[in-house]
Amino acid sequence: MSGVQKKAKKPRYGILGVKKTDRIFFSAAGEDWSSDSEDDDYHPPGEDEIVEINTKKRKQERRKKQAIIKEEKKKGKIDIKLKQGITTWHLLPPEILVKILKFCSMNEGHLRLDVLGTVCNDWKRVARTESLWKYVDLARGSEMLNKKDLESTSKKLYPLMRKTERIVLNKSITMSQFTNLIRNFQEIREISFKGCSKLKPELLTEIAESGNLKNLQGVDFNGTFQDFIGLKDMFVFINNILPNLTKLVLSNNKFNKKTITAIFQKVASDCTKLKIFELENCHSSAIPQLDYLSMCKNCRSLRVLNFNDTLFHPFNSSGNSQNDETTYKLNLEEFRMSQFLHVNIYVSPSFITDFIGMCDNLTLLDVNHLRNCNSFNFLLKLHAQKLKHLYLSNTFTKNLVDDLEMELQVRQVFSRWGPSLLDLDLSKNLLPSTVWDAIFDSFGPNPSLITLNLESSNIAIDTLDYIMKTFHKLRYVNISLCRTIRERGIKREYQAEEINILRSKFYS
Amino acid sequence: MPSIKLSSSDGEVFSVEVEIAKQSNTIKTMLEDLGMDEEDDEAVPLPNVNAAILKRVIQWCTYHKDDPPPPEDDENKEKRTDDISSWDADFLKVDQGTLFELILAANYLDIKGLLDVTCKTVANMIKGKSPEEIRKTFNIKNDFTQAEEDQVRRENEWCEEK
Repeated sequence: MSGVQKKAKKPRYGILGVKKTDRIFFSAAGEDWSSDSEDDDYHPPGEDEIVEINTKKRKQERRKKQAIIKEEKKKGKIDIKLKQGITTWHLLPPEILVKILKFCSMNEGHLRLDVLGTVCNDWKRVARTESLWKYVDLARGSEMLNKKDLESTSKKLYPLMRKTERIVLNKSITMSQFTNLIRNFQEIREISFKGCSKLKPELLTEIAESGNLKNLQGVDFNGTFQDFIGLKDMFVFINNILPNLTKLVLSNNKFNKKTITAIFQKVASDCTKLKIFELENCHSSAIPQLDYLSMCKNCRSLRVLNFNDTLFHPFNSSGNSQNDETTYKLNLEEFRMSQFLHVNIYVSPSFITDFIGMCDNLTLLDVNHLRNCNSFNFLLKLHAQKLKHLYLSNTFTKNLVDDLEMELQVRQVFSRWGPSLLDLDLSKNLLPSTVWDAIFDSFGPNPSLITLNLESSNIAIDTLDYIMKTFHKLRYVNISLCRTIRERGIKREYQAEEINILRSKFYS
Repeated sequence: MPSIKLSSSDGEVFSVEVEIAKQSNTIKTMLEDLGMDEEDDEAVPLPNVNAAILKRVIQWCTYHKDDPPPPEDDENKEKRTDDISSWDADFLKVDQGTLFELILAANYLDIKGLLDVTCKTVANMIKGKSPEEIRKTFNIKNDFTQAEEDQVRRENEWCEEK
């Protein structure tokens, strides 16, 4: 060790010209806020008002620390400490602590930053750095707190969010707190009100009329409102905010028919920027109509569309047929239209092909419980080339076409999508055994399928045998309640390593 | 393969391929702006990194030499801390002193990938720990005064373990 130190004492030349004795303080001094740094995390403290107040104090403390360390170093204490694995973490440059706390907030949410601020004075200061409060998640970890603590902690943190761009609120927020919060916002672009059940539909008007939310691009109202949303509540929002949005989530809410009709009209005619539109499990006082062809024509940016368990009546105002390709601009990547809770008599396989048939880049299709479906024919008509997730639970129910025709269909469907498919749900379907064989036979060598749900289907043990010996990448298989499998004790879900238990049964 | 020489704080000289060394923006800038090149026989001095740590940093850079450049921060919204590759996880199974020095070296040499993965490792060590456990783990002194402490405790009663 002494040899090392001797060498190090030689003064260094060159651009960096820092002496070895300064080494441990180089970063600790923290004054090296490199302005050309590529990393946005590194904010000079001067830019940060909250930190700024403490800069003086910090400098003093740092000097004190440096003095102590110097002294300890003289005595050789530091090196001994490092050797023993006890480190001097409090000497970390603030910009690195910012980075670490940023990863902590991503791990555990921003309520956790409040806890981490109680470790020591340094951490308390750094936890309030502006750059940590750009994308804020106040929902993660909120379930661990009781009502009172959640409310007081959230309230304490709101003042830090003046420069926040994206925020996920938690259920503690009230109407008056939100009104105060909007006054704070300067750069907000996305707000999630998911599960903020204390808020009332009047919130929508407040958002629409606030001058501070002009840059709003994304809103999530998943399960926010307990009351029916009337047109009066949403009128200004629909006209002023909706056309600018790239993301709108209204899932799990209740609407008056006029409200939902107005939303549909606006989306179908005037929302060219909308990318994500989710309307899962929404109830309205009467079934609304959706002009789906004008939606195809105008929603050029739409990529994710979720209509799971929401009733609507698709209609075609222009009278054009689906063959008029020029009118189509819809380019969805994900389309969900499960009908688990309701029987939507208006939605048929031919509507699916009319609506999303031209989407070349579709990767996810969820049509569980689709009614009036007697064959795989509608899947053949889709242009999608590389489907990854396909959900067809309880889809083929009535008056199936004859076995041979269906076998030909599935061979075409799964030889096209087999190589790209990752998830496949064929549960609750009763198909001829030759069709089951043809499905899995068509995947080709080395299929990439990861999850396979065959629950309550009539898959035969021989087909399953083929699957277990050919589909090596499977990490989830569900064969519970399969009537046609007579073997005892194997009918259940298998996850991860358990797959090998199932696989071994077929090799013995 | 052209290579350059790097000299650690304690005087050990390492010969490294230029492409590998250039993962450090500090070294890259030095080579580009200051016209240092391969023919220069002189070793680049790195006075903030000792030989043991420099050796590890070179090891990391060699393994990651073909990686695509790390994405800019803030762009990808769903950033994760559980995406540490198994090689990196093994590489970072070191004592805290070494981890601490690796962070400082990655920061000084401006190697974003290494800085990210080391900071993520620390964040994962913090996960789920109480403030007292964190202080113990990282040997941090609780420097709040009694009055501050009382106030903090009042404010944060919920996070203390009963």
